Amino acid sequence: MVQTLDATFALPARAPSRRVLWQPWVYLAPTLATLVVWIYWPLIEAAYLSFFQWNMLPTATPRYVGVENYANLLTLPEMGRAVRNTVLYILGLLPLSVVLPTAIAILTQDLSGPFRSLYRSLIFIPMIIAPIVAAVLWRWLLNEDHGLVNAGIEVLGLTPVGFLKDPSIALWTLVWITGWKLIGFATLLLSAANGTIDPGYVEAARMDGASRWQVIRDIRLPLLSPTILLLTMMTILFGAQWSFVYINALTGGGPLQSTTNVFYLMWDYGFQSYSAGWSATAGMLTFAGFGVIAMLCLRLMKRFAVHEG
Amino acid sequence: MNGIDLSAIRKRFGETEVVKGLDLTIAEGEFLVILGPSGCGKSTLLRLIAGLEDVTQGRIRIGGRDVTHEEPGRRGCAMVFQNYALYPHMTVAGNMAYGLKVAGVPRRERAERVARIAGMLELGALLDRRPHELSGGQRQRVAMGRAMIRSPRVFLFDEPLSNLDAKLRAQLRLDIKRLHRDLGTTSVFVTHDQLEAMTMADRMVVMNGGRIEQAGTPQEIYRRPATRFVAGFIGAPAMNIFPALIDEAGRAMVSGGWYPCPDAVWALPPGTEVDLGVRPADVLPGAPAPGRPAFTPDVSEDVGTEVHLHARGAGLDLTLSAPAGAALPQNDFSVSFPAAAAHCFAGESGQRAALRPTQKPERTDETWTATSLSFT
Repeated sequence: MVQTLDATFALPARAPSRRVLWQPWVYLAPTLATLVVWIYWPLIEAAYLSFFQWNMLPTATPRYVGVENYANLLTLPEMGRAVRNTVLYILGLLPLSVVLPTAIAILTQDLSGPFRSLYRSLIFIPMIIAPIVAAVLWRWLLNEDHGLVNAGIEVLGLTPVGFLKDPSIALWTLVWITGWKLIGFATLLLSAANGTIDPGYVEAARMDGASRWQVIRDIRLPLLSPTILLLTMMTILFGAQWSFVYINALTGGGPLQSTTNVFYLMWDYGFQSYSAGWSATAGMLTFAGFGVIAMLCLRLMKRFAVHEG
Repeated sequence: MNGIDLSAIRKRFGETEVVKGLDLTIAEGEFLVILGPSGCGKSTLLRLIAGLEDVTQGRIRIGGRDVTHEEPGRRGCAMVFQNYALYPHMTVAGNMAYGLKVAGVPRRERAERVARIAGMLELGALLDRRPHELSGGQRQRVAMGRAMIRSPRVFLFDEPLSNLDAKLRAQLRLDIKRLHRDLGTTSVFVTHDQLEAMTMADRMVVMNGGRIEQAGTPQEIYRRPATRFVAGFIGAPAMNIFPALIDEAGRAMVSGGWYPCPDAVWALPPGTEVDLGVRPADVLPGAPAPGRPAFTPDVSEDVGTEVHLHARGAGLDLTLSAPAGAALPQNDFSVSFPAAAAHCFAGESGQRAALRPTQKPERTDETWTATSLSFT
């Protein structure tokens, strides 16, 4: 800056135009470098790798295979199953990351004093626990033979449940653990949004004769819609990714691949099977798929979200 | 019978008592304006009538029916809010029809009523717009329409004009008065603007510190303020107030032995400390004389229709107002005023004091005309 000023004073007519050319780029450089190094370069690298067969050994040379990786993956039943599971993860997470937090935010808006602090701590604790710690805790809690949850179930006289071992249940267990971590964050966002709704709208609606429920349905929910849509979009785009750490720590994609999703599969191809080409191909397919979904979501959001203007 | 009857209303927020035992009856079809400074409890009182706040003590009756514990939507009141509180996600038509929709009125009838009210308020072309696409005045009219559509028994206005510019405010003041004339609905209008209060009110209530200071027609309140507070609050420029002492004869003497209004003899015991008041328009300037403090002209404000002269003398501030074009003192001057223009307030509470009965009646309808209303 000092330099610019000096130059401006020295050469008032010429100096600014010459400096303006490169100066903004200097300021942008750190951000651009980060974007290139962490996003665009890996993306290009992955796109490149997806046309090769390579076992990730530095000594081995990648072998060009054309679109063979894509053809293989798209016909592989494993991939189809992972895609289906990904959809199940997302559908399962939506109630936990959107519906439940919306309900909690609206129902607890009138809490005051110590109750408010208590509920807030309770709801936010899961958010600050490290994912891997949460995974271990839940593994203990849900253990079939010695877990606290199954002990409780047995006290009720029911048969113990193989939460992580039963192929028809394991995926939902992971959905619950992922969602349990998210409820706090989502509730925080929605409570904040709910708190900024002008109480005047609610009062006007009460004067209009609206009941509690009608106020929620006709006033609060429409005014919360930008936040609700944002959370829905985040869950659709990132929900299946968030569950990766629990799949990895608790089930390894099993039993019988019942908890594998595309993100886990990608990792599995790359770092378990050492087939970098397949991993990169799965990555590119996921990128393309979610790219399309993201665009649709943004359009929907623009169309349906209510803004106070 | 759509009058409102408030008896012994108290409202406490935690430790703070905002409305302190208030009784008020509002007649059917009356346009009542509640006027007071910020924090006097006037908006709270309106919200108590609306049902948006619950009373701590007391009873509220509307149309003879006890509604103290009724939900706001069931009291038959409609409210126009200060910031209008139009639902941002609904169109103008949606905003107006929402109350009907909640009440289960069929779609077709809703549309008819919206069209009719929109016609009355000249909102027909705006029905599909959203509130953020409207100007302040248009929003205000939509808020009026939303209030009118359910044909309420009572209109409640919470400073509805305070967010508008002066010209629009004058226009909407007239519009609201016309609507009231045509609909005849009982209306309660809260404002801190005395011009609004004076021009709109059938009857006016001046509140201060959670209590009613005075209730009456605007003329009564202007010409016979019941307390020192009302005297100082109503009228612009504000009434001149001189601290004075009642002498043996009952006349008010300002410190230094000055009798600004020697004709007035007050029904107060000698030695009473009083505040002697006179409207700026009633002050008579005269030549300097012994026994009378000299006032020095300080600043004069020409507001077009009249001129206000601010003067100082003997530790007192004085404001004098005269019609535009009238001669104003250029040099030091003394002042006096007739007994008919004098107001005297005594004691802690500043209650209005009467003239001694041996005198002519202090104020009658005839003498009122001697006092000119002064507003800018």
